[in-house]
Amino acid sequence: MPYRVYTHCIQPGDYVDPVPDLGTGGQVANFIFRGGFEKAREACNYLLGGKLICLGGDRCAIGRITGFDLPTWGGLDNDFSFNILLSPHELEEFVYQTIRVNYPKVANDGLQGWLITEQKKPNGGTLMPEPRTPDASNFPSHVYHPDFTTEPSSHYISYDPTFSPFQVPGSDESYEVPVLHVECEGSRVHDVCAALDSVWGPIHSSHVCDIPLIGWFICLIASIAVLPVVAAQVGIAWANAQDGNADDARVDPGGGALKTGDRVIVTGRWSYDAGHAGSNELHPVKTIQKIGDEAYDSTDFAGFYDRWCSRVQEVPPYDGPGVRPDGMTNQQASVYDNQLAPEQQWVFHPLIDGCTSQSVIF
Amino acid sequence: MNRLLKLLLAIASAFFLVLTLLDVLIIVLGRILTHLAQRQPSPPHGTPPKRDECWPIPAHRYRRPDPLIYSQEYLMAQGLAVTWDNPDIWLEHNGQRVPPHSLQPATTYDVIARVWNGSVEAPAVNLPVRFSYLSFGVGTTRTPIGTTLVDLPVKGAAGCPTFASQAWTTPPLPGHYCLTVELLWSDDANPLNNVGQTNTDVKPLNSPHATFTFTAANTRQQPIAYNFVVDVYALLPQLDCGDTRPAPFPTMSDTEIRERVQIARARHDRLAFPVPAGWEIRVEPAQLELPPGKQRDVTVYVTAPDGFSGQQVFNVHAFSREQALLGGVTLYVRG
Repeated sequence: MPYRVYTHCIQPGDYVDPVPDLGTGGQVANFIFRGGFEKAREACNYLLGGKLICLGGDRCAIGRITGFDLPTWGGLDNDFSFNILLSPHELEEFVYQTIRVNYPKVANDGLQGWLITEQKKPNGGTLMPEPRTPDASNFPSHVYHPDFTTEPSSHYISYDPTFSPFQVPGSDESYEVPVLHVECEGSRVHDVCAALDSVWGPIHSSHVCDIPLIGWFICLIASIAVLPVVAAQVGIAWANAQDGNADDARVDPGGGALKTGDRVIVTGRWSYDAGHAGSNELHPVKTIQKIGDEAYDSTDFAGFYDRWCSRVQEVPPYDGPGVRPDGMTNQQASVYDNQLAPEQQWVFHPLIDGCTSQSVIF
Repeated sequence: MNRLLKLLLAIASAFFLVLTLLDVLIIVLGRILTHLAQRQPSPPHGTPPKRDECWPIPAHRYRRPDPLIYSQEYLMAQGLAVTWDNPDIWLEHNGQRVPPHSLQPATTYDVIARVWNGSVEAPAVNLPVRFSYLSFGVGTTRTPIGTTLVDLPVKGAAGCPTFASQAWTTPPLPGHYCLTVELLWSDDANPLNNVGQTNTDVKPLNSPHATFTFTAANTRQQPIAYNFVVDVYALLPQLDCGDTRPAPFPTMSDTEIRERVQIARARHDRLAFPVPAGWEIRVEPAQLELPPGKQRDVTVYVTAPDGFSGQQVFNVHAFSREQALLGGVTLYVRG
């Protein structure tokens, strides 16, 4: 299956939030007087190419999975996302404490903490825009609020609290663990928005809604006229996206399974998500690979991280069978071309079913 | 007039009905989009997160390396002939390659393992490579030498294959040893091709006989029945790439994989290398049942055909009653 990215990120100065939270009455009024489908279209543009601020390209992160975002799977949003505690940190460091105490331990570690740190201008000023729903605590700033997971028990420290003796919520002191949010994109938002755009796009392009005084009325009539078609298209797109992604994840023989506590290296586009309280994340995730305990090295974690990232980042991206990926680095292009060479086309072992262009060496 | 009024009322009703439906749709759409624009970064305080599930990830994101070495057990399970003169394991002394069957006692050698990656998309950083030695034979006790960590890039990248080196000081008493290399990676695309062994011996022909002895041992908890089978397979020269065109894509298609497997089986078929006419090979005992913890010597008698000169290889493979490969040795005679 070809690797797909449905969203794109923008520069901080280009950020606009077109989806004000107006409440139900406001939505109706907004619809009648400003064109409902126009606003829905703007919301689509925001979700797919407006709320993510570019932070400088792809990055890699190593950490343990602390939890999955359950509501997003199989529901409205079929993105698959999870949170990782950046290595070399472990849960023990954070017991009894809130995010206020625990966040600086990771953010200021001099290792991977920069991944979850607010990016600022060289003069120290705020670089990120005001997020959609700023956190009232202003911690650590008005535009940044770190993601965290709440672990239920400070006396039973485990990524899997299934066997904790403190099963009753609130029976033990919980603690908050700063995490990096990583998100694999599903297709549903894109598909639903594309369905909406296929019907409303031509009307939008005609600019009839922009005509002074009567534009809103023409827009209203047009909305009523295309309503059944939009509803049908959106319904079909919704259903198709749901089936395709669920099956893809479940039957692909080359795939794998993740659980909390797994240590992984994740690569993806480093972004600031302004769609909620404002935090950095990898969105979309491009690759996930497990790192077993046998290979983990916390004694020289900086070196370990550098070696992993350099090896992972030299791998050519996957754009589908027979497609030469776009935007490869020189190193990736070199590896890609080498991988196409006849000498690399072996299955069991190069000396068994491979070929050579040189004199044979045993 | 009454009819006109009814018509206007009907139009107005229909208009407001459609308007209401549209309102509902927009509100729902707005709610959906608002929901998508926000997320709950963590479960509510004190609520145990749901942890007992594994989450399936599709292959285009989830990646596994395939560290591999020339693995006799794996290749034979594919129906391929194997040699115990492992091309991926050798010994060096002061930087020079030395034959593994003529080692000096209490001398430090470097054991070298050549490690490949079958994956074009997943590297293995800090891959543990475990070295062990055994007494010459099959089923003998494994003694650890040490573990070396190497970085294994993807297939086709500079640095693949990679080489793991481990210093080994031979035991003080003269002896003849086998070497085993294991690649340890818990999330491996193919964990069956991670163990390779090198077990060789060389003897000159003495008008025109040669005799080899090795140990068959049972370190398991159950009795083992050994059945010895001899062939003369040796690694074949690699095919010349010649005019072969580059592949259309780094990951091989199912058709391409089938073709490669057919080529491998056509050239390296396990049954295609019988002892040639004129040679007489006798393994004593040809079959052997060993209780747990026991061992005994196995002797191989080789008689060359008249006038033979040069080198001939013999592989002695030990199979269980269930045809599972238990080990083997490669013997060279020179005349």
